[in-house]
Amino acid sequence: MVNKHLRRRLRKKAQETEQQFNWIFILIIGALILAFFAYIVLKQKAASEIKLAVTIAKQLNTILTGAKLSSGTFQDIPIPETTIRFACNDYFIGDVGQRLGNRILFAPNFVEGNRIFTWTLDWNVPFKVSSFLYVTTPFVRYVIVPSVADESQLLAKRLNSTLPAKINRELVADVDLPNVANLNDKRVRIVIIQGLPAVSAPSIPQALANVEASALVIDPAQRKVQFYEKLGAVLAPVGAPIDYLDDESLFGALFTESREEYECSMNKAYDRLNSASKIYAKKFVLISNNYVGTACEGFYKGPGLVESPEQQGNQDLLSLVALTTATPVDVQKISESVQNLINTNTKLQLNSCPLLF
Amino acid sequence: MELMGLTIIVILIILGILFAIKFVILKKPPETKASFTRSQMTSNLGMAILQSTSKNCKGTDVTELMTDCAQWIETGGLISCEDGRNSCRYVNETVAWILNSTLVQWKVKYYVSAGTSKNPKDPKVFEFSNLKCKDNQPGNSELFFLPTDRGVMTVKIFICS
Amino acid sequence: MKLAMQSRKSQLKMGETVAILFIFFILLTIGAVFYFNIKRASVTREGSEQFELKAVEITQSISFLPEAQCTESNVVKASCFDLYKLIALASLKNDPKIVRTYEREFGQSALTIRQVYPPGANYTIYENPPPQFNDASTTNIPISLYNATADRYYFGVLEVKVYR
Repeated sequence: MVNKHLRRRLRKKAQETEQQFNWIFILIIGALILAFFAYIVLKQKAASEIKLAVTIAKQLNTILTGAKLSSGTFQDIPIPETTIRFACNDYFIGDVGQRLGNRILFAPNFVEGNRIFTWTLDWNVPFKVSSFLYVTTPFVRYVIVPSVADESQLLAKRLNSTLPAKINRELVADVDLPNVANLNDKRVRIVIIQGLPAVSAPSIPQALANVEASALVIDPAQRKVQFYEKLGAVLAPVGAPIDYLDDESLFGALFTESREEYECSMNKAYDRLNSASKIYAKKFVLISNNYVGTACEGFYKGPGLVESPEQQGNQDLLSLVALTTATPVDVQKISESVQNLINTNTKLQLNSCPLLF
Repeated sequence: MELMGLTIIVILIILGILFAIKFVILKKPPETKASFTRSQMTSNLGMAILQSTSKNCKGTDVTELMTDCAQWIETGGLISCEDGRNSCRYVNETVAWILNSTLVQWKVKYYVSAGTSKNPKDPKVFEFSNLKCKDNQPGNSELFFLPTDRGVMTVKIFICS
Repeated sequence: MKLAMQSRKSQLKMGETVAILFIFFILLTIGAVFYFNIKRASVTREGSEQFELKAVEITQSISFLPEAQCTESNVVKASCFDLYKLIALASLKNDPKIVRTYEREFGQSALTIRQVYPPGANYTIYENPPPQFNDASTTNIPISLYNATADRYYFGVLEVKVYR
């Protein structure tokens, strides 16, 4: 009787223990399965985020390549909501970077939102060297502030009329700058046209105190630009003023927030000018052999420069090569050579000779 | 009961495999390069041929020779080149030479023709085809129009895909 | 006896659960292997796509290279290359600054222009093959070549070879 009772109790206990073990087993296996799928989901999430960034970067690469080739055009391109960080040689979407190669691009440090504007201009010095690609968004407001001087007013009007209509900009008189309103902008670039060195650093309008602001001071008489970046509540100058060559380079300074990135992009442009000038100089030395003793010959080939007399060629093309090889590049002297080349081309046309460009 | 569970799992796996086969394995690779090359070839080939200066035909270009041929197609063209060939023969042999040195060597299927009449029975300035390519097949085409005294001459460059 | 029977029954139940789990994990492994194989295939395909895109990009870049294009009063002529610029480019292709500039644009590729009609010279304006390569994609585009001194246009071919 006791034995029977004991056996029943033992069986009950064994059943309870089995049930407990079953539950523990189910819990462990369930947790393992759940952990496995959670791991897969997390990995997939990270992978798909990277994949999306790569897809956007690839699409943007195609857009930028296309924009570079279609000179003189402005495009308003919808993109997935993202933040793109632009540098002189690369651009980044999250951690995914894409090389810009030889493309010369001017853009704010960060382009945010779901639309980008691209604008392309040919860079002719005086022959076409490359295309400049400007990138911005509707979320960047450009406030152009000319002084009362005629030259300043003229440049402001020219900038305002040349910039594509969709670019978010306004022309403001210098006295009205402190009253500029906040239009829910993410970024504001204040472009002040006045003499350099500036009497005082440009001040941030009260309403824009909490907005990402930067400034550019343009001196049209000296053809120089000074970059300013926000430092706390004020705008502080960054480095010394930089010479600009033409309107295309000036637009580059207008669209680029960082002085360093602007200098880097312009150096890339001068490298291209160097290569192009070498090729043009060589081309006209070759052509000159067909025009020995004619009026054309002198335009194509002259004595070499003082520093390399053995290298014959068109003096101004050789100057362009020398000027763009040196660092820093002497921008003012490039302007002189460009003007001389334009004059030579006109003379070649009058003499019915093959043109330089 | 267990059997039913197993059946459901097997069905789900089969569905998954079919889905993967349909959308991943059988996905056609994009023809980015092939379509770019075809479109570049059609537009550039026409422009480059028409612009080319003849080697020994009084410094005329292919467009001039084609126009002359189209205007005087019955006589074989009025322009007589340095080597005695007239414009129709010259232009035919030049275009054939160019096509043989390029598209034929690259094994590209093409159909190239030029003429003023829409009637297919009327004589054409030239008509060439490679690997049985016809202009009614799928592919890329580019038309160039040249004014002549007999109306507009249409130059058709067609690359079959 | 009865206790031993019950214990064996429990063991059998346990074994059944383990077997189900075993099959489940086998199915999961098969699924994972299948998925990763498909993923690997799609990555390879994406790599080929990227390579093709790169080849197209290089072909486009060379077609629009200002240092090679024909221009008249700075107006570019479509699909036309200036013969003298090409000769100059070919002779300067080893200039370190030019090499550096074009390396960024054309990467590991070779760009050759052949004069087809009238038959003429070939000009290799850029050449940067890798020491070892598995594959090379060649794109041929018909072009015009302009001789500025003779004022004549020749028929040519731009050959773009991209290595990988």
